Amino acid sequence: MNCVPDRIEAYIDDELDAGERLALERHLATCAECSSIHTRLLEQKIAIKAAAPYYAAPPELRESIRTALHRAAVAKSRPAAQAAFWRPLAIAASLLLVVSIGWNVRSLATARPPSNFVESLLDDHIRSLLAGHLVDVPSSDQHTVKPWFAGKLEFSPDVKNLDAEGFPLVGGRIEYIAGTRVAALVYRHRLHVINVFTWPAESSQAGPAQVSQHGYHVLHWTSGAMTYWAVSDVAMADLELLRKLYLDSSAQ
Amino acid sequence: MARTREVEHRVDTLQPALQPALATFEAVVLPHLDAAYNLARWLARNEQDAEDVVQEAYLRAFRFFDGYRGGDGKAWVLEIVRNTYRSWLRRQSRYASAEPFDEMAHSGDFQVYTQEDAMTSDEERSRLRSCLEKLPEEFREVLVLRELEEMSYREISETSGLAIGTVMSRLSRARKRLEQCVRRYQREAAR
Repeated sequence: MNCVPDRIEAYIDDELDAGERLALERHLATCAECSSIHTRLLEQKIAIKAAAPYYAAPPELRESIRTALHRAAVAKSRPAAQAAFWRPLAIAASLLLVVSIGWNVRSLATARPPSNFVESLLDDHIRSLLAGHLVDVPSSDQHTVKPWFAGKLEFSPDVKNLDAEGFPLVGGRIEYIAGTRVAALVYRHRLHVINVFTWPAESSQAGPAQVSQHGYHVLHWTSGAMTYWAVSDVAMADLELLRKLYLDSSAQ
Repeated sequence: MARTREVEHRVDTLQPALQPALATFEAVVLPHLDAAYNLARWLARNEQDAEDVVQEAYLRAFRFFDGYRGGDGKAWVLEIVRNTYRSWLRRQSRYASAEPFDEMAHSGDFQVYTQEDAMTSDEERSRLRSCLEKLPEEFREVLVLRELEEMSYREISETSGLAIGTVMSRLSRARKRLEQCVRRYQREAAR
């Protein structure tokens, strides 16, 4: 047998079968060079185990993950739970969904596949719900939130305080979606969080579009030169209301 | 606290069909939380980022759980942790220019030692640890999976998406680089 260092590595990693192991052990007994490679590798292996800490998950992390999972499971289950009351609406909504998915395919075909895009909105929304991630600028004052974005983005988002209408502003943060830095405006509606992602529309995208997935709803609209994507686990009707409030206050 | 109570309350209202789904997910995936955190901690090299990555990975895993077809739960979870880390890293580097690795903050602790013998071996350990932390990510990753998680070549291949041959050559290069780094330290110390 010739010297084959990678066989020695496979040997110390316990990846050889019995026959190969035996052959290599015989070789190690007679070859000083391979024997010293083997010793060095073995010493390193032992040294790594002794020196490199195994980081166990902190108990708080375990707890917060369980909480987040339960919340995600509840969100998943919600549409089914409401089916009895909302069945006629649900049928209408699903028809709308088919239409809106068709619309999405067309309008987003240039950017990236729509499912990935909606997935990335949902990912951002879910991530924002984790502790400490919701806002970079916590403020219910649009005159604080809007200037905060200046200098961080190439555009100035339209920040509205809709507290009186039941959508208090929580704050804002910056997100990275579909290759663009965008503004995320955070609202609360009852106990739910709504993320409104907004950035200048590249082209004129017409009409609202809505998608529901995993118990979350996504509503899209454009106003002026800006595009808006609202994401939340509130009912689609609440998102529609938010859109209307946005458009109405822009019209004034 | 109010939020926790609200969640607990809503868990009771879970669809009966979903409770087993969540329970199955927790049974398959939660036992690997330490492994998930260990990998994320070695990749991100700090606690807060590791926690963020693991949280996000677990939520993703839950969403993709329908796609889990049995098999090695650990390799499956670690694959998601690894991919989540990659996309987290991409987002970070777009927000700000990547922070240079702060050697001082990561160089292990040189505390007060009582015995000379203990000092030598402690120093050796912290040298090795520091070398491991400074290895390029693709090498650090395979070494952590092999030596700390004690995964087989096949499992590492599943987790990393690399061919088994690539896993072997990468592991081999990682060991050589680690050894070179330790030797460099020893030469410097000898001066």
